Parts: sequence; C-alpha cells; structure tokens
Amino acid sequence: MNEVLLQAWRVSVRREKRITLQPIDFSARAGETIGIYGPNGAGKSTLLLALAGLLPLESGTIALAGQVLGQDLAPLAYHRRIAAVFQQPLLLRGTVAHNVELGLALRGINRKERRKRALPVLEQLGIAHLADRSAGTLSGGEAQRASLARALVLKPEILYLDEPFAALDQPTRRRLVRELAGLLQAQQIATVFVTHDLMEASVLCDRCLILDKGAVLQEGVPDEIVRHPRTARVAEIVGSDYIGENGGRLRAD
Amino acid sequence: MGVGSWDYWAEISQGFIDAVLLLVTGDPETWGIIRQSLYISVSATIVSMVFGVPAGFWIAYSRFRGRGLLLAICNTGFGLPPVVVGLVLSILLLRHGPLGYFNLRFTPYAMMIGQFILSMPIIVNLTVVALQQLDPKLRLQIKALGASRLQTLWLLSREIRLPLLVAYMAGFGAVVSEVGASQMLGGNLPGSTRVLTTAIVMETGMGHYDRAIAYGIVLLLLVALVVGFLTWLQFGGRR
Repeated sequence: MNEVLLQAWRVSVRREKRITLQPIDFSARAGETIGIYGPNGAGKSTLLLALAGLLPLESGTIALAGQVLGQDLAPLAYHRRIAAVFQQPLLLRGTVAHNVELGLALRGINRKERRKRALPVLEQLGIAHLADRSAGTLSGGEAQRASLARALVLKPEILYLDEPFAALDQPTRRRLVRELAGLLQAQQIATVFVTHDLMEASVLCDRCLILDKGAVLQEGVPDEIVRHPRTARVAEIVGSDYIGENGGRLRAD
Repeated sequence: MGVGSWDYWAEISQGFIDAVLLLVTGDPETWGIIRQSLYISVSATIVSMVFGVPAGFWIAYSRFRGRGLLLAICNTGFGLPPVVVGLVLSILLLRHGPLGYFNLRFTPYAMMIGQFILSMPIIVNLTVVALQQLDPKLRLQIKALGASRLQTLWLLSREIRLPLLVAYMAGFGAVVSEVGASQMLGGNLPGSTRVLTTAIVMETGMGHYDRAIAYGIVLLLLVALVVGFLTWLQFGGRR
C-alpha cells in the first residue's frame, strides 16, 4: 500500500456557534479514492471543505505528506497542491480554455505551456472541441467536464469532489462517473469524494465513510458496509437490512 | 408679467438659443467649467473605487465584530447630506483646524475629498451587494484553484465587473450633480473650483439664464451619457 498522503486528526468545525462536525480522524493514501456518504445535512460537504482547507477549523490538524497545514505548509501552498470540483461547475467568465488553464495561470505558468498541458486533459474529457466556446454557453454536463478538466490539469496530489455529478441527468452522470473512475485509476490521484449516491460510491471509492450528524458511523469498503451495516442507523442510511448481533433478527428500529 | 407674458418666454427661449451657441462655438469659459467638473468628479470617484472596491470585499467576506454596523454606516452613506459633509470638511480644513496645514480649502482638492467621501459609501455598498449575488462557493473554488488573496480579488472583480461599472457610474452621477459640498469646499472660484452645479446656482442668481441653461443642458447630457452607456452595456456590450 502507498504511504499516507493526507492525514487529519480530530478535525471539527463549528458554524454559527453550532458544532457541524464532530472531531474526525481521516487519512488518504496516494491513489486512493475515499467516499463520504450520508444523508442531507450530515456534514459531508463541511468535512470536505475542512479537509480542503477552505473552512476555519474549530479544532484539529491537517497534514499533507507530513507537512502540517498552517505550520509547515501555508494555505496558499496547500491549495496549489490540491484541486476541488463542486456540485455547480462554477466556471468563470471567458472561454472553456481560459477556465481550464486558470489554475495554471494563477501559478504563473506561461500561455504556451498552459496550452500544452490543457490540451490532453480537454481531450481526455472529450471537450477539446469546446475549447474556444464561452463558458456561459455550455450545457450542464459540458460545464462539469470543463470544471473537472480545470482540476485535473493541475495534477493535484489530492482531488476533492463535492457531489460533482448531483446536478446532472442520469445518463450524463453514469457516463461521467465511469470516465472519471478510469482517469483516477490511471493517474493515481488521491481523491476525496462526497456523494449521496451509493452507485457512484461503489464505482469510484476504495473506501467509504458513513457520516451522520457530523460524526463517522462506519468506515470500510462500500459493498461491505451495505452487506454488514454496523448499526441500524447505518443500515437505514445505506438502505440495507440490519441484522442484529444475536439471532439474525431483523430490527425495525 | 404673467405666466404667458411675451417678455418672459422671449427671455427664456433666447436663453436656450444662447446656450446652444455657447456650447457649439466652444466658448472657453463654458468648456473650462465642463472640464473642471469632469476632472474633479472623475478623480474623486476613481479614488473611491480604488478604496471602495477592496473595502466592499472586506466587508462582504470577513467576519468581524461591527461588520453589521459598518454596513449600516454605508447604507446611511447613501443618504449622506452633501451639505453636512461640506460643513464637517470645511471645519476640518480651516486654517487652524486639524487639516488646516494642507491649506486645501477652496481648492479642487478639497472638492475631491468631499466627493470622495460622498461616493465612497455608494461604491462600497454596491460592491457588497454584487458580491452577495455570487454563488458563495465561487470564492472557495477560486481559492481551491490556488489563487492568492490579490488574485482572488482580481478574479472576483472580473466576475462582477458589470455591477462594479454600475457602482462607478452611480458614484459619479451622484457627485457630479451635487452642489452643496462643492460650493462650500470649493467656493465657486472661476477657472479652479467652478463646476457645472455651482455655476448654475451662480448664473441663475445673477439672472444669466443663457449660461445657466447651457450648464444645465451639459449636466443633463452627462447623466444621459452615463445612463446610455450603462444601458448599452446591459444589452449589446456584454461579454
């Protein structure tokens, strides 16, 4: 197994004086895809934003390859080693190419080099023909592809995906999940993936966290969690039957 | 001399004709006043943008005690009475006042300061409103792309460039047509602090309706130009 790339200890978040995330430990290895699954309001996005260094922490420490965020590693330096894709494509004004090259431009990479790096990624995501189109004219699926390209072109050490397919229609979604699974496999990028779709989680994730009310209820391989939910609540969340410890009785909860 | 009196209408229409003549013949005094008006108000509002836009970002995005109060002050600033600004600044700029050393009273700079104070809340406020319209995740996305603070400011400003232009125009429109503070701070000195509004007041007082009307037309044209430009931006000039 690869070495641990991202490590978080006792990370908690408080929003408007309310704890939205209990202290959580988290780790990801290079090439590993970790799902965060749970009902609405469970704190999935909050955990992702916290790990991505985009939310002030109430407590806890985050380290990338042993460098502690905020001590050995400045937030800006951290952000230049990760990438994030959200539910909305969040493209900026300008062409698709401009958007995809934006992260590179922010890192001071010259235009020629940007073009060179962006092209293969645009091709991988099947949007090379849209490069000169204005971002505002794209369909939802195309825009999300551009958003993914904008993240992948940075060759991030960690990729944060916050329900990137939730706003797409089913066929588009299924196709994009498959493609992304292939790309992540090929490039060995550690990925943190928030979803409320179990199919997505089982296709993409090596490991999955079940989150509810800001706390981790269970952690493991997605299919394993579905087969053996540890508590009635986990069973309810993943939609499987809970078999109690003694006698294999079905509990209604 | 009733409302329908011949003399009255003759005088007013003569005023219009003379006004147009003053403008088209390039009367140096008239054009000097127009130039000075633009110079003072454009400078003041540019400085307002330089400080007001970052201030708007700061208010919109940082969480600190008294943030609500600051926003309230900016909202009050929309209705800030120019004469009060003129009064307070005049007192501060008095020879023995705290800012008397700079000897700015009755100079274009005093007017610029006054107009800066008057336009600043408008620009700050409209910047805050524009930022609040954006998807709150957009700023996080830009940060996650590895943007420094300055790069974030730049990218978000680009996203709200149209509202920012509206903010500039609103600020400019407010100060270029303001008379109270300009009169008190500038003193309507010919060739220096005489601007369109103070000139209109003076010429009307002296019964020089032709000049007053000429300046009025220019002021209206300026505002129409601003509004026209905005409308053009909203429709054709996008992207």
